[in-house]
Amino acid sequence: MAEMSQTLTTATPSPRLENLRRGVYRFRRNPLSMVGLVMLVLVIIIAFIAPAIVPYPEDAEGNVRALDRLKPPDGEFYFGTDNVGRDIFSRTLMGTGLALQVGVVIIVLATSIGVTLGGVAGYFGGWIDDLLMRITDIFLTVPALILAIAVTAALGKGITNVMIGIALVWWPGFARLTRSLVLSLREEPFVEAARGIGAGHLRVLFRHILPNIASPIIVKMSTDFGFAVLTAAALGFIGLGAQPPTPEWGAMINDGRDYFPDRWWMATFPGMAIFLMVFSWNLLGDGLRDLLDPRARR
Amino acid sequence: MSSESPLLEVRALSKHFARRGGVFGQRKAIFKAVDEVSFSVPRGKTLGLVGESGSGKTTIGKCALRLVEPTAGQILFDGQDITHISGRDLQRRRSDMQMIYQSPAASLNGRMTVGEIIGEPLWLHEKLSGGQRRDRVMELLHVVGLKSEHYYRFPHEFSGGQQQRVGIARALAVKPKLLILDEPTSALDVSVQAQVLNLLHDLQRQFGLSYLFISHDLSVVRYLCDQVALLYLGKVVEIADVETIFTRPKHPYTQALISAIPEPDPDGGREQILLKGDLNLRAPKQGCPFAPRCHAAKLAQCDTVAPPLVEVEPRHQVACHLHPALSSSRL
Repeated sequence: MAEMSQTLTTATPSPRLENLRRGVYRFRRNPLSMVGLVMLVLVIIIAFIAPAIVPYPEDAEGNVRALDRLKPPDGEFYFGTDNVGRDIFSRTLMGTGLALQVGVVIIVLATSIGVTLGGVAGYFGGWIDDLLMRITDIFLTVPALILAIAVTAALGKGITNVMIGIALVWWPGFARLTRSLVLSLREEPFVEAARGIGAGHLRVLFRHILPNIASPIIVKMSTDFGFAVLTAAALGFIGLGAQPPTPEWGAMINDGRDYFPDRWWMATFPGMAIFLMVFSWNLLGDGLRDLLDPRARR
Repeated sequence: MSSESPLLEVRALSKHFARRGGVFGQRKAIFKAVDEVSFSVPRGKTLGLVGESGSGKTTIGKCALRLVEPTAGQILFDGQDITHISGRDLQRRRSDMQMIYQSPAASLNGRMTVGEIIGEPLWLHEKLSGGQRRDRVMELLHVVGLKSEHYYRFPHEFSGGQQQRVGIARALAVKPKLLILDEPTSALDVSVQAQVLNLLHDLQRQFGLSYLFISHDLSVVRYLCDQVALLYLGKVVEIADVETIFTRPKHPYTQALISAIPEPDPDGGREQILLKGDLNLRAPKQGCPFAPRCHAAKLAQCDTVAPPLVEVEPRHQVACHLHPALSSSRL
């Protein structure tokens, strides 16, 4: 008997780990989400090692090589050079870290604000709900990009303000999602039971309700990540974001705008980078959705 | 407080829900889910609360716990009025009263392990953590007939009966004096029902618990309860000791319910009373709420005056205009 329970415990060390293992198995059976995951892992690795592997790391700064300007892609400059002779390959890879950082900050900020406000609105209901949801509605009535531009312009140029500006227009989606999920669980007996054993409101909301609605929120975080990067690039494109010479993808596309289509490489390669970033986050998001939220499938 | 006073006393408790209707959602009707209900749960005993669905029995239980705010009336626990307490006082009171739910799976947080579920009240009320909490949880697991190895499992890995045991262990963790059992066995298989009922019976004796047992299953009520209150459309129609209810019911509704219990002997010769029509949640505007379905001879005041709950003999209250005549003629 003792032996048997011993083997049982070693076979299933922890049910949480077991659940995770099962999830990983299901995730791996979905080829597209695996592609997304592999691409993202590559992106993250690149972001960290870019300064060490790119041929011209100094081109991320204001380096000028007048003799090499506007060269097409070849064996030396894989992605060609830009109008001041900087290596686009080096600059694109060096921009990866910034793009990831922008995405993380925007998504973390937007999720924190949105989940908190949505959770509070859904849980308490009544006038709190009305107030918070009307504020959310106001944000949702203005097109997100326009509002982000306005907020950023008001705060001033710069990548930090871009992140703040986009996060401020991004949270209403999370608030709406969280509110509806909280509403669906608020009257569940286990929530009432938690109140019954003396748990306070915050504990009920964050310990009991939120873990049960985390899956759709995580899926949305993943899918939104790519779009957040895209939006940041859009602000960079119109010159509100990172200021030169920072290798920001949107700004790089803007630099290449004047030389398009004859010197197509200037805008194309940073554009490809944005595309791959958005695409891999979307694939990952879809994979996570199948994994965590099977009912919402297709 | 003297041991004679009841543990829980409910006085003229009412809970009304406003039903909105019309295009603009203006107030249209008031639905009296619970209408001036009074009863008490003696210490160490079990009061059964019996009624059809919609009769307000669950609402009464939740009002007693203050999970639902009553519209009117008074709730006294251990002689203290808890109708309007809040904050810390309420939190402290909640460790004296716990609820066991009808659907065991839905009453447990699926993201927490059994150890965390049972350990949470220990943290909240006694700030127990680490090994101490673990030991207490293990103890509670054994008290409700579960095993130590269940500590790390999630609720979905259990059968309904085991889940209900987890719910009971969580309730016991705060050392309550009163358990409100909201149809604790109606979602379970018959064989498991008996096990859970036996467990509840043992726990009552072991810990001196008082139960408010909400049910529609009369055979279960007979097994577990000391007193029974029958509800019809949010009103108490009869309260008495359990044997009195089963042998000498006085209210026509009680009589009909008792007669509907299957007899082991089919030739036993007891006539079944069939009620007219279905339960209509809209009680008549005036008169006895049960009048439209009553099988007994009707008096003129049945349709005009709501019968008050009166004590017809010691520890036996009935709300029926007919009762003096009825008690001798039938059954």
